[in-house]
Amino acid sequence: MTRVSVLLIRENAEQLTGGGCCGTLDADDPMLGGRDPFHHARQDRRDLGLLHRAIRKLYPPDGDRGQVAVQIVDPRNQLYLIAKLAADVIRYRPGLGAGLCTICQMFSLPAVVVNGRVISRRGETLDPDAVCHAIGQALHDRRPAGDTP
Amino acid sequence: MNAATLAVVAFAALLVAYLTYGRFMATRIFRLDPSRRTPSHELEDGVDYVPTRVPVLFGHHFASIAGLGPILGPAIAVVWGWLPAVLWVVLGCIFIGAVHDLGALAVSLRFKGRTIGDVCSDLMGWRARLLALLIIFFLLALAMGAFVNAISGLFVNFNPDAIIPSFGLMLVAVAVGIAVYKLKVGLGPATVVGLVLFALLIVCGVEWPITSYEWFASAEARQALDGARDAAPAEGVPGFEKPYGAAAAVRHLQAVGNERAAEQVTAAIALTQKWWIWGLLAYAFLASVLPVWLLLQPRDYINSFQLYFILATLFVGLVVAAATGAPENHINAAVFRPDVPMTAIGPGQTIDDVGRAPSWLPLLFVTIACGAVSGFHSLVSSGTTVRQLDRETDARVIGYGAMLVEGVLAILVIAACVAGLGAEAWQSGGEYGSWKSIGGAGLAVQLSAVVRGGGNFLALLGIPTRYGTAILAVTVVAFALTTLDTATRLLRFNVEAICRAVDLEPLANRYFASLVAVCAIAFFGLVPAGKTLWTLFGTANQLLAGLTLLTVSVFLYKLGRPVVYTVVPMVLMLAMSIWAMTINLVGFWENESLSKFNQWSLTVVTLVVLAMSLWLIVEGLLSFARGRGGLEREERESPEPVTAGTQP
Repeated sequence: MTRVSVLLIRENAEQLTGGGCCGTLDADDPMLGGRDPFHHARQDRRDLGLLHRAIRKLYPPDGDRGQVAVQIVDPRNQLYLIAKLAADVIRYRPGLGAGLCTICQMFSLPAVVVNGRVISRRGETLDPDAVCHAIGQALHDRRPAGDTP
Repeated sequence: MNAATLAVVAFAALLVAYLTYGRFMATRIFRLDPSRRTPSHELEDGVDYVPTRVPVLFGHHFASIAGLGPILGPAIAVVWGWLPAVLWVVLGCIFIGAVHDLGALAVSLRFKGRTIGDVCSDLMGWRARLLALLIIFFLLALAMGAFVNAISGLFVNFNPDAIIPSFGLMLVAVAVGIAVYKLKVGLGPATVVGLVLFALLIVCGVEWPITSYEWFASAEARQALDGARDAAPAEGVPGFEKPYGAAAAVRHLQAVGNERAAEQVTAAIALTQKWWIWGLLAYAFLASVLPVWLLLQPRDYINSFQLYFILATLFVGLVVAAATGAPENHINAAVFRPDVPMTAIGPGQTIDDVGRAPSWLPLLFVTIACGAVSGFHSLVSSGTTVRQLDRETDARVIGYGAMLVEGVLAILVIAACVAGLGAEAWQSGGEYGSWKSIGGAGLAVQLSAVVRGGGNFLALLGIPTRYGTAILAVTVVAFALTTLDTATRLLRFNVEAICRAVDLEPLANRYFASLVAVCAIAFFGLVPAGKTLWTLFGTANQLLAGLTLLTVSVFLYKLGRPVVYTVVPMVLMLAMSIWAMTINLVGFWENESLSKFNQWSLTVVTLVVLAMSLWLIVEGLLSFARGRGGLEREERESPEPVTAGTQP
């Protein structure tokens, strides 16, 4: 049975770095003098972290309900993101409109995509309950009739 | 040997190394264990510690380690022939650079994702840590001095067509940043609009290049340049065509015999470059005090597209050149040129008349830094990437593999310079005809070589050369500006920390600290010896790599594992760096074109870095002398097996 695919697309670059091979703005705390230039981004990341933990708590990767594949993706990683979104749409067939929305990345950041369908709403804080409910629904939909969780 | 064959052989060597030496290092030396819990699982918080699949993490890691370094270094180093440059990139990547990155990841993995600096402090003491930070401080100021020098030269001499798109890209980045992060516009539409605007800016730049040197030229020179633009092409006279770079202007005016105007333009070039440097420093100040989400992050986002675009187009361009038998596939450079003439050899002259360039040994090893090994990668590997590794064995793909891909970029740049640039560049009087014309010239010349060589590859894909060179020039400038922004901010944080440490709290504010940071960069950027900065930067970067390899070696030694695979690269890095630094030191002292102040200050900076390096080696030896042990408990800890990762 196919697993439920959950993509959490971060609001900001996941690495929180800048500068390429000759300098980075993160990673070495003493160089930053205790500063966190990405403090605004970290708040967004914390929110996404809460959501991630909530999903993982309800659907642990190694539990008997480990049929949920969760990925956190950096929007910079378009090579992966484009391919993954297209693959999910083809695999799960969320419908023409929803599929186009997903493939064209018509979502604001941060975003949650479950089985190729964008379930986050523009500008709204991600609600762990709503996301977990959507994942539960996706899990339910894929089960053959009579199969109880 | 042609460029395509060269590239195929090099890529094959890198692939074989990944499958053999990379596997050996991962399994036998670092003993990566897929069943051991990684920090991303142990401390999973969905914020910093997130188990991430290999294809996802590889993209993030590669975008964070690749930049201007693997482009600029190889462009200079091919002056000694293509073979030493290719060998150093391939062998350096396989045996040193990739081992360095993998080692930093492996060590950090066992220390719960702590940075290599913290680990260094634990293993070798706080003095070693302090030294590493000081080296990084000098390294940043040096690199940025070199970068502002290079950008200003590129804008004035070779690519006035890059000015509009380079600065326009900042506005586009700000617009994308506000749209995506504040207005919550869809990512897809914002990206597409941003990239379309960027393309339009390239068109504007190519059609309306900004010849800034004309602002500082006399009316007479401007009149001569107007005449040159309208002049019909004549045999034996180099044309003065778009993008109307100052170097082309001087060549044209000299060819038509208008020496007076040529001199006036030359004088204007020096002044214009100085103004551009000040302008770029003002930008660095502004960028350093602006919030990161406004400019740095969105530009970083756009940079990632540029990086993959350049990699893909250079690669496909080379394939097309090979398939069609285009002249761009023919290598025009010498295989090995140990004796590079100092200046162009005139008729009836020999190399003894014009003098010899500095020897390839040891300068090759510090000139190509990031393309073969880069100390900065350890900061990315150990601080951020390690916290997202799903399984320990993934470190081989991410740490070892990503460095090899950076080697691929360096090989493509070498191909662009030795083949794509054309035969003229390698004849006497061409860019690579003598040391003065490339290695000893401004960094802009070296960047221009990559830009033109790469532009010729892009032309094979149907992209007009004018546009191809503009795209490459803007990409190079964008990488350099992102680094400039980042480094100025880092220097600022350091200055603020120092002010606090010495109870000068009122001065520990972003504006004063940014000003001090910009002054440090200005010192290196405006010094007439700017052309030697790159090798000095490479030296400091290799020193940092040597330090990381030292830390990795001490770690392996204390666990009772073989250390030869990290100690030999470490010794090579430290020896070459110190040798190159000594040569630089003598060069600064004997350089009569430098003022006494510049001579003294550059000598002192080099001496300080040299002293720190020697001290660091002593710290490492002391750590070895303290003997094995101390890490066994950590090693013996029975790991909780990972039963499932995030893999579907």
